[in-house]
Amino acid sequence: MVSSPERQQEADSDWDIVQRVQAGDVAAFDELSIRYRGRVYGMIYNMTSNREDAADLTQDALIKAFRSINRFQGQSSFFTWLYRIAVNSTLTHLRKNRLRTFFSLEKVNEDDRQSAEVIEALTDNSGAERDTFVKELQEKLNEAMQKLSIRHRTVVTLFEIDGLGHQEIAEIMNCSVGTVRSRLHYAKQILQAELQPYIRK
Amino acid sequence: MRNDRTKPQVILEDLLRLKRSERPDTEFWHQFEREMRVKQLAAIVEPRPWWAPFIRMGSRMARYQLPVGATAILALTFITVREYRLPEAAGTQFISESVVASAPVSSSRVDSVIIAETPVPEVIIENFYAKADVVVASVEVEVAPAVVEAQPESVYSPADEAIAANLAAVRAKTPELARLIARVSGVDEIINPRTRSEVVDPLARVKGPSTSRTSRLLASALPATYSEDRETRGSVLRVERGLTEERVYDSISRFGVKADRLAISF
Repeated sequence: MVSSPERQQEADSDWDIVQRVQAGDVAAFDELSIRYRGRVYGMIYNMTSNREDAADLTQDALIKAFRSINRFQGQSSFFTWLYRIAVNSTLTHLRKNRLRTFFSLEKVNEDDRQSAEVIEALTDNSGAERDTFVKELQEKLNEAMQKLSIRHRTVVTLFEIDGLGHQEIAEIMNCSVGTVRSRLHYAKQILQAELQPYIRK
Repeated sequence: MRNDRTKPQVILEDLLRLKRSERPDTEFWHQFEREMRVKQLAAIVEPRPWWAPFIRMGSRMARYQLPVGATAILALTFITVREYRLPEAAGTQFISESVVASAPVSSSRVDSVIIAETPVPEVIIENFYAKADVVVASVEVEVAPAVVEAQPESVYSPADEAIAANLAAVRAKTPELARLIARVSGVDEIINPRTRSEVVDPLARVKGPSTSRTSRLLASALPATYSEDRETRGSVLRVERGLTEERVYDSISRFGVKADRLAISF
């Protein structure tokens, strides 16, 4: 299901490229890879909190999609299909390595306007103290995310960070929209409790 | 961080959007691109395994895995049990058919004797040490399954085996005569080893040269002596009263063989 006209346009463009790849134009898959690798990587990274694992899983998801692209029949958008592959790979990885949790965090890009506003609202410091605060906040965020179950973490990541709709998340996670809403509500309650010192009541 | 952290100005969604800005740098994507290219080429070159279509088919039939698996296990169990029982039943039938004796015999128990089906009572000794029993009934001989276990070699001479076989046939017809012959010649020990354990004196087990000669003679003579007429019964009684092994040996020349009977004149 495609929620907005922009998404519809994007889905149509993806379908054209997919058809080219299915016809034998292997290089056309690079366009799809470049288009979605950042979002797939971001989703996996926020679920694993480990950049090396996220890179490997992103590559694996893209290779799986490349291998299976002849079976893709366009019943859903390529983006949803690719996300489903990535989510399933990540869930499998997290279940296998449930006891192994190593954080390997990316640096927060403070050039981003939204990020800068949030950091500005939380601290008046500048220079080294500001960097320390940002790092501390980043670690707290990751710790709070890791306290969620895998399914709840997935829902929060897809909805709050990647900006997907409930219906899309339901398709990707193969569950109902109600389940998505319920998981999201529960996950937010836990995160509220964990990040209480940073949140306005 | 603000000194008055009790009054933060952001909500949870803002904090979570902060994670969007955790992005890798450009160098990371170059490295990613190189690794991705290698994996993609490997995926193109790598031949598909021959079982790949089966996996695809199996994934489509995932919902039927449980019933199909249960059915397969049941079928395998049924076939195994059936295959296991058939040879056993067939073997029993084969042995029981081949071992049934046509001669009317009295009820006795002889170890490991197989009696062939012939008009004339004829006995073939398979092995003395066979584990299974042959139960000689009044009409036919019934043999339990797994009748005979082959022994590598017999410790008895052919004469001993022939005597034992003949004794079994005679015992079936005339128990008194058989008992007498067994006592005289010691064949009973050969056929029924359990009686041997009852002998206390070890010297009694030693056979002299006369024993082997007697056995050899009786082996050829006993089938002819089989008779149910009164003369034979009378001679049996006489022999039973006082005939010793030495006397039988001394008067062996008085035996006269006529057709299917043996006449002994004292």
